[in-house]
This record gives sequence, C-alpha cells and structure tokens, in this order.
Amino acid sequence: MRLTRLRLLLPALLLVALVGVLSSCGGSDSGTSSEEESAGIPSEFKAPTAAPDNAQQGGTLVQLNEGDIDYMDPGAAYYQVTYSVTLATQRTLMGWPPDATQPVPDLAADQPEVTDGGKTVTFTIRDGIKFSPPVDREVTSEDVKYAIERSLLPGVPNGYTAAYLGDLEGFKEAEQAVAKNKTTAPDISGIETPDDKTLVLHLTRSSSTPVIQALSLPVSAPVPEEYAKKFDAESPSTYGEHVTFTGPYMVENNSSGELTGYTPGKEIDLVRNPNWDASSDYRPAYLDEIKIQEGFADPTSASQKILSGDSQISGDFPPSKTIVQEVATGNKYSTDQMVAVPSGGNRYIALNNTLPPFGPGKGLTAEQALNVRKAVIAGSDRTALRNTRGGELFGPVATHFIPPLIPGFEEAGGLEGPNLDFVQNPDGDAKLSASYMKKAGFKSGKCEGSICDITMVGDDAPPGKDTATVFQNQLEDMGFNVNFQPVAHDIMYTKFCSVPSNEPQVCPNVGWIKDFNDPQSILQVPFSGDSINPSNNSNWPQLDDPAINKAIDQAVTITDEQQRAETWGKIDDQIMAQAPAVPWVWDNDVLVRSEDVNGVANLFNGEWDLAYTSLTNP
Amino acid sequence: MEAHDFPESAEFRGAPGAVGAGAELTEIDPSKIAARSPWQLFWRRFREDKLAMASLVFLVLLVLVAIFAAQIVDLVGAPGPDVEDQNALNQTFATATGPSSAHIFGVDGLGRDVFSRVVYGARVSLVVAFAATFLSTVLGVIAGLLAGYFRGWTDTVVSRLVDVLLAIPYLMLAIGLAAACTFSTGKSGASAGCLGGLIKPGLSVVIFVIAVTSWTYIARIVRGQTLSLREKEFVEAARASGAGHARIIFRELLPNLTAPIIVYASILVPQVILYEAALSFLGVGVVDQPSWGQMISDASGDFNTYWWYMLFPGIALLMTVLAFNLVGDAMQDALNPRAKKT
Amino acid sequence: MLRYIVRRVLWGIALLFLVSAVIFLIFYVFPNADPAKLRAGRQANPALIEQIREQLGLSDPIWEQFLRYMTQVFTPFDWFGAAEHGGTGPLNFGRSFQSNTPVKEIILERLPATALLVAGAVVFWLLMGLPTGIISAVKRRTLLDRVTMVTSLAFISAPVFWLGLVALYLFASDVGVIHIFPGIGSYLDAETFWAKCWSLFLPWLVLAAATAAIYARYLRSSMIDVMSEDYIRTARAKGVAERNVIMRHGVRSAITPIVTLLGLDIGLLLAGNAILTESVFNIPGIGNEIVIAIRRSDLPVIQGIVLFGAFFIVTFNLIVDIAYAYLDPRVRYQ
Repeated sequence: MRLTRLRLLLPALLLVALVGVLSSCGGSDSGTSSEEESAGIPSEFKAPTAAPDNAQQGGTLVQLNEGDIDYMDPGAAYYQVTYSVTLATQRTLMGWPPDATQPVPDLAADQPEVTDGGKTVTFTIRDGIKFSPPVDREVTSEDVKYAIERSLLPGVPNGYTAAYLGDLEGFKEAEQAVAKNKTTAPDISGIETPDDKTLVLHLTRSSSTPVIQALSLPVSAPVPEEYAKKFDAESPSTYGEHVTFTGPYMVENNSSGELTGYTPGKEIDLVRNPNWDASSDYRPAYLDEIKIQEGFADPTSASQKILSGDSQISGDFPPSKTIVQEVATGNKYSTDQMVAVPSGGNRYIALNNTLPPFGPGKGLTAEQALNVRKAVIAGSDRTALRNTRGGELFGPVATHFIPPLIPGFEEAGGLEGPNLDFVQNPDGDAKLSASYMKKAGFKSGKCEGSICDITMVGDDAPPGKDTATVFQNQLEDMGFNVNFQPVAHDIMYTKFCSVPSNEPQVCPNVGWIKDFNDPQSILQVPFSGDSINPSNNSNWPQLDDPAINKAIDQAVTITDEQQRAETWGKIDDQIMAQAPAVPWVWDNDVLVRSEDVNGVANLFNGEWDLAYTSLTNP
Repeated sequence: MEAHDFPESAEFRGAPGAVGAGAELTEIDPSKIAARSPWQLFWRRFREDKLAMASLVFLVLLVLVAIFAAQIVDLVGAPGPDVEDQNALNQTFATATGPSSAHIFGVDGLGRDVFSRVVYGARVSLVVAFAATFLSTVLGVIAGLLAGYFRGWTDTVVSRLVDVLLAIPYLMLAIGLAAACTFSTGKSGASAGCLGGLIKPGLSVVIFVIAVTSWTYIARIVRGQTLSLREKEFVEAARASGAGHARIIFRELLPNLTAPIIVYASILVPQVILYEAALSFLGVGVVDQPSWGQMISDASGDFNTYWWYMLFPGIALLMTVLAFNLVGDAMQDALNPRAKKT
Repeated sequence: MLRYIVRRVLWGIALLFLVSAVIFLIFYVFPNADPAKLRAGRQANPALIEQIREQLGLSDPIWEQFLRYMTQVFTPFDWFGAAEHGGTGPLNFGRSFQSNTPVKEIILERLPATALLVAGAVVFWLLMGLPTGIISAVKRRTLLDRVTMVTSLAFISAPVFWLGLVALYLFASDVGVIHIFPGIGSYLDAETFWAKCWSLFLPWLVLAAATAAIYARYLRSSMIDVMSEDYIRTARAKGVAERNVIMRHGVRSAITPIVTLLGLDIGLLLAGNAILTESVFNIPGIGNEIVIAIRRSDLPVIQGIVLFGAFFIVTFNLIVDIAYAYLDPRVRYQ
C-alpha cells in the first residue's frame, strides 16, 4: 500500500541496535520477529498493544487528523488512516487484533480450510453478525461475495483486488463483463456460496496464502447487495455516503442510511453500533463515541494540543522533530505520551529506469544506465535523507526493500542488507560512486553532458519537500543538473509519478507500506514489470526485468511459510541488485496521546486502535 | 501586504523634509545666490532628511552584499547556502541548532547555515524588487499615457481593464497565476510555463505575476497626470506648431512625468518586496534559491523552538522594506516641497 | 442620482461577468492538471475518469463550459446543459473535486471566520490608527510625531505573517514567552462566540497593525491639509475652542477619504486578502481555504472563491462610490 505523506518515523537507536546485535553474536531468529530485536525502538517508546486490565468503559475520544480518509466505502479504502476507521467499524473475513502478526478470523468463524493443494479456500461465516441500522439483517456469505465483486466496478476505485484476488476463477471474465456493463457488479464464478454461511473460493493456482491475507483488507467487509445496488449504479458509486457497518462502532447515520456523521474534510463521528454482538468479537470497544476531526494543518501545534489536553490522540500526522525532542528530553510532557510502531513500510527514491540517464537512451546502454543507478545509490547520503524526517530515532536507514518484522527481512540481509557494495555505506561513498560513473562511461567520475539534465517532481510540503531538496543537492554533487518541481502530494501521483508516460527521471517521495504481513505485498506491486499500469502505476521505477517478474510470479504460489520467507528474501536482493531505486528508511510511526488516554496501537496499520483504546476517567 | 491597496493619491507624507517656517531673515550676499537645477533642489531637499539618507546608505550596502554574497559568506567562514551540514544538527533528533561559533545565525531544519541564506536571500529580494517594479512601471506608464492622452475609447478600455484587474483579490490572482504557470503540462514534469515557455516557475513567474497585478497603481497616476498635463499651454503650443502624437508624448509629456514616475515607482518597490515575501511564504514564490519569505515559511512550523531562522530573515525584510519606505517618503517630500504637509 | 446608481450597478454586473471570464481563462485555459483525473482521485481507472469527464461536461467546447458555469452561478435556468452537468443555479459554483461538497456550502461555512476576523481587525485599526493620526497631526513635527510616524512605517514595513509569528512567539498561551493569548488553531477549538473572539485577539492585533499605521499616516496628512484651510483659521478667530476646532471642523473634513479607504479595505479583506493572517494562525476562513484548494488544484473551489471575492470587492466599491457621489455632487456628472 502506498504511503501517505504523513508517515512519521520514530527514534530508533539504530547504531545501538546494530552494535548490540553484532556484539552479542546472537542475531535474531528469522520468522518470529519481536519488536525490540529488529526495529530497535527504545523501550520507553514502545507502543502498548493490549488494553490494561482495569480499562474503563465509556467516554468520548477525539482524534486529530490533518487530512481526510481516502474513502468511506470499504471497497475502495486503502489508506492506513482509513483503516483506523474500518478496523473499528467493519468486520472483515480475517482481522487484525492490535498485537497480531498474522490475521485472525473475524467475520469468519474459524481459520479457513485450504484444500486442493492451495487452490480452494473455504470460509465459514460466524453466526449472529448483523448489519447496522437501517439494514438490520444478519450477514450471509452472499454479502461477502458481493463485496468482492463490486470492487471491480469502475465506480468503486479499489486499488488491490486485481493484484491479490486476480487468481480467482472467472476473474478475467468478470473484468470483461464489467467493462461492458459499468453499473452492475459482475459475477465472479470462482466465488461460490453453497449456503448462507459458507464461502468457497476457487483459485486458478495455489495462491491461497496471499489470498487469505488479502481477505483481511477492507474489501472483504460484507456489503448487502439489495441495499447497495442502487448506489453502485452511480458513477462514482455513492455507497460511500450510505455505508452499513458490522463492527462495534458505526458512523452516525439517519433512518435511510445516509451518513450524517461524515462531513468530508471536516469530521467523522463514530457511535456505538446497536446491532453489534460483543460476545462474538475479540474487540473490547471501551469508548462510547469517537470524533475524528480533520483540518489540523500544523503538526506542531496539533501535537501540543494533544499532549497538553484531554482525551485526544493523533491520527494521520506524526509529531514534528521538535516535539519529539521535547517529549523525549523535556519535562513538560511525560515520555509515555509518545509511542512508536514500525510502519511495516519503506521509503525510497524512484529512478525512472526507462529514461536516460537512469535507463537506456541518448547513447547510453542498459548496462551503463545500471552503473549510473548504482553510482547514485552509492553516492547518496541516505542518513541525511532519513534525518529530514527526524534523525536516528525515526527508523533505520534502509538497505533493501522488505522492512523489519515482515517475513523475509532477515533472509534479505536484515539491517545490514545484501552483499552489494553500493548499499554498504549509509552516509554515501563518493569514491565508489565515482568508480561506477566511470564504468558507465563518464571519465570524470561525475555525470557529464546534456544527459545529466533531469527533472524531479516531489512534495511541496515538508518533510517530503525537505527530503527532495536534500537529494537534489546530493545529485548535483554527482554532476546532475536537477530541475526540481514541487507539487501537491496528490498531484505528484495522479499527474506525474503514477503516470508512466509522464513520469520524470526522479520521484523522490515514494514508498510502500505492506498490505499484509507477507513479503509479496511489499515487492509484487512496486517491482514487478507485470504490474506496470498506464494510468495508476505503483511500480515507480518501472522496473521490468523478466527474471524478476518470473520469480515473483512463481513465488506467489508457495504455501510453505519458511520457503516463502526465503524465496521472497532472495527476490528482494535480486531487485536491489538492479539498483532501481534508492531505499533510505524503514520508517516508524510516531503517535502521541493525551495523559488521560490508555492508548493501544495496532501493529497492522501503525495507528491507535479505536476499538481497544480507552480513557482513564471516562 | 494585505492591509492596503494603492490609493490613487497615496501621498505618504511621513517625513517632514522641508525647512520650516520661522527661519530668521538675514543679510544675503547677492553673489552667493546661484540658480539651481530642479534636480539639485530635489537632492538638496532629500538630503535634509537624515533618516532617509541613512536608509539610502543601508540600501547601497545591501546591494553590495547581494552582489558580493559569496565573498561575504567566505569572509565570515560560513558554508554556502545549500550545504546541509549534518553535524550541525542535533545527533539524536536531527533538529536544528541555534547560533554557535560555526554558524553565527544557527542552522535551519536541514542543517543549512542561516547567515549564509540571509545574505544570499538579499539577491532574490532585490532582483525581484527592481525587475518587477521596472516591468510594472513600464506597463503602467504605457497604459496610463495612452489612456490619458488619447482619451475616448482607449481610455475606456484601459480604465475598464484596470477595474477588472482590481476586482480580483490580487493575492489570489497571483497564487492562481503562479500555480497555473507551474502546473502547465510539460513532458515528464518539466513545466512548460506560461506565454510559450517564457515564464518558467521560479523567479520569472514571480516577477511576471507581480508585474501583471501591480501595474494598475502607476497606470492610474500617470493617467491622471497626463490628463491634466495635456491641457497645459506648452502642449497646445506643440500641437499648434504641427507636432505629431509621438513627438508630443515623448518630448513634452514624458519629461514632465519622469519625476512623479520615479517617485511612485520608488514607493512601489517596498510593496513589491513584501508581495514577493508573501508569495514565497505561501509557497508559490521562488523555490530554488534562498528567499527571506521562504525561510520564514520554513520556520513557521517550529518558530517557538527555532526562533533564529524566523527572526533573522524577518529582520532583514523589515529593515530593507523600511529603508525603501523612508527613501520613498523623502523623495516624495522632496518632489513637492510646497505641498502643505508640515 | 438615480441614474448614477443605475449606471454603476449595471457596470458592476458587467464587471462580474468579465472577471468570471478572466478567472475561467486562467484556471481552465492555461494548461493545467486534468480536472477529470483530479475529481476521480487516487486509484482511479480510465473508465471512471471517462465517466466523470462526461458528468462534468468537460468534453464540450470551452465557451459552452464557460456559459454553462455563468448560467449556474447567476441564473436558475437550464441553459447550456446546466441541469445535466452539475445542476441549475443560482449560486451553483459546482462541487469540490476533493470532497464533492457544493462549493457554495464550503464558502458559506468559512465565511463567518473571515468575517469575524475582519470585523475585529477593523475595530482595532480604527481605534489604534485614527487617534494616532489626529494626535500626530496636531502635534506635528514634535518628537512624538516623528517617533510615531517612523514606528508606523515600521509596522507597514514588516511582513504581516512575520508579525504574526513574532506575536505568537511572545504571547501565545501555549508556547509563547509570556502566556497570554490563545495560540495557533485555537479558533478551531473555540465553542462559544466569546471564546472565538478571544482566540482571534492576536490575529486582530496583527492584521490591524499595518492598516492602523497606514490610516494614521493618511489621516495625519489629510488633517494637516485641512487644518491649513481658511475656514479653520476663521473658526479659531471666532474663538471656538481648539478641541472643537480639531474635532468638529478638522477631523470631520479630513475623515472622508478614510471612509472611502475603509470601504475598499473591508471589501478586499472579505474577498480573501486575509490569507496570510489566516494561514499563520490556522483560522478556517476563506483565505486559508483557497490556499489549500490551489495546492490541490481543486478548480471549482478556487473559481468559486475568487468569484465570490470579486463580488465583495465590486459591491463595496459600489457602496463607496455611491456614498461619495452622495456627498460630492460633482462626481455624479463624470
């Protein structure tokens, strides 16, 4: 999942952790990763992932957000921040309790049955789960089938169904059907509902592992067809203004189902869902009401408000570096009001592998372009890039793409990274960079000629702008002549970086957050040539290496956990060897809360979990 | 900048410059009475305003600083304005540090030396000030002359155009224009700019935008002056002796307009500097070079901790604009000494 | 008089039309981000973008789109396909690309904050500026006068956003050196009217500072002009008390241009020129909204706000002109 600009990095004592790991010769064991080992977050900032024993019921919590969620419609929701709302208001087939590293059955009664060598997955739907008023009826397997099918409608802009559920039988036919009839959800023949409580998925190949993981995403939140059909007939679908809920909370609505509690860009009002059955849910749901207020443009003042106020938590923005410093070293606030969670994501600077000088053309061969890319990575001071977000404490400097805590991280080289010389020095190695430039044909060791005139389109607001500015300087030291165009964050994607035909040579503010705890969700969409899309591309380097594409395609179907970790770890190193982009941090999310809040953070989306957080005096 | 539009008869008579009444009558030696040219008189009256003289000196120094920015920065031992000194940042939190022996004005959030950036920032402010004012004046004089001299349809068109421009909140127009010119679809992000690529994002957009939105000020004044001048006898005489329009405009009218044009242009300069700072603050000004407005904008998130990089650029702006204002005031007083202002 | 008013009003309407055309030109014709893509948002697919293009009528010729927009803003009729593409008017400025909220709602929602900011600032700048101007004029060329005038010039010379930051640094209750006034974002917190006013105290002072200075200087020079007129001398000769001479005769005449200025300034500020103050103090007004909208290329919002702002400026200009014509008959016959 693509990063929003508001990822905050937490102070992680990287060097201490590194020294600790090296000197103790213990290493951490791969597979079962515990936070302290890999992410190096100091214990005083470790986020609680369980509610205290004496947690109190009741009260109203306020969450401050800078921007809005992306979509209220669970079929389209794809932001980490939106997941805060969906985790509390929707029950998906598989769910994420705050401390889970693997998805847990939520709407499903039990772990699904996998048969046929990984090609058939059978879910049983729990009894007694009802939709919120005004729909009011019990959820059936048909509702999940419809939820998945409607995500193919052009009016429901889902960003991941095709990538992760594309192996369902009949998927291609469904895509063709919806291209002709744009306002009716197509039928996917591979989703069977033999009875109200059973859902059977038939896959064309043994990709059950990612499929089950993907069904922990909001797309599997049930949607009643008879209620939603009329909204889905519009384009874009207006279901987002009439969503119905199955979780402990719901957005306030009126008797015809219209969401009165959601004012886009201003506020979201969550109240208790009267039809929620506490006994069938792992969520405790202590709070009575949650108000999400949007529009807090200045993270410093918003953080101060939360830290010195009551019953508030931060949402989609991290506290600024100065606030972090103040909380950590000052005496105005108590240090446990600030916590860190690994975001499960990375940030990197995409070099457009199809345009010279980072791709072949203007007299440069592919081999030479590869050397130029290696030179750029070798010469970048990635620590300085990380410092633009906040220093040592904001996440370790990245050396490859799979982040800590995700299986495959250690297999890909862990913190130190793969055995490639150009990523060894996080502070940059000018001599190595020069030697790669020479291999690329630039005798002086720096870029020469008009081929060095490049454009970079980045964020126009800090910290993204700062990162881009710093990188611009580093590129210029290597001989490039950089034209930096700062634009608004969304425009950067919709007009430039995500449109292959209009993408500049450098897109500095990109990154990817895991969609679920499997390395496929970190590497497939961003680096497989098969996922390059002409209008909404997330393979920003436009890497299209046939060997890598094949390896990725085959790795999807591995069902053995250990084997998956190893294979994907190797793929990560293979990708890194092509030097498509400059990875610079595996960032941490920093969250702040008021004194009277018992905040519980959810490891899945790196935010406070609204269904587990409570107040000390409600 | 938002507080005020340019009123038509803005005569900021702040600085009393003329010699006051009440001077004693003394014996005057006839040989000491010499005729002085209008310019000499102008300069003499200007000189009497001590504050304005001090300001003039300050401005000359500022221009020198802008020209010799690199040398000055070297002299003080500061690094260049774009050097990101990682060592100057707090090592744990990567936050900026304040004035120290290595960086006399401290560093900003990226480790760049504030003193260096303030010095280089003078370039942007001055270049924009002079270029935009010049362009604005040229446009305004042309429009005002044509409107005032030819009257009739020309006047109507020009005046209506002025009305339309003035009806649009100028900051919004400026931001919108700047954004439009920046967003122009170029290939791979390279902006095509406006006016067929002539106006590219950065300095030229800012100058263009400011000029387009402020020429109305001078235009109105020049129009008024032209209207009254064209009725004077010397113009009638020229017409009677068969002079064509061009001759009258260039030989008779323009010379008489030079003084007020210069004065009102000099009043425009400080407004333009503030205007550029505002645009930079809002993020649509100059981005690739250090600019005082941009620095204040960078500081606005953490001003209570990073006071140094809010303070120094702000003081620089304040002093520069104040100096220009004082000079402009004194010039205006020197132009109209007998205006009953003191 | 009536004919004058009618002429001015007609010109005002024509002006609004012309202004709309100019704005439309700038934001639609200058090559720009594709509105359909912007509206479609993230993860959009080509089919959705096409449908939105249809919906918004973006494939129609520019002049038709422009006239449709004008129809939707000014009239309730269904011309140029108004009903089909966005609905009929009047005052239908379209919907935000970002949130799909009608632009009219956005404007009406943000107007009170700007209005309150401007109202308070006006009070302050009149209270601060007028007495200063009068006293300086009366005590001209004394040290007090000189100091006051230079100080005023200093306030005019400081960028208002910087003044705001300095004020916050010194006086903000949460982070300032002296904790008195509410800090950034306090307006968003304030529930009651009085709490809102209190949260605007620093913004009022900051916004008023530069304008007060300008008015002080203007009034001063205006007063000096007036005070040297013959009728003032006559009044003094007749034995009228000096205070009355100043207040009843001097100020009354000198203040007319100030009234004009006031009208124009209020119009300009309501139109959104308070952008900088709103930005620094994070006040959810019209100025702040347009900054956000421009950065997101949210064209309907930008157009709507600028047009709305132009409406304010034209209206206030009109009021001032008519008032002036009422006071000075010579003007009517131009």
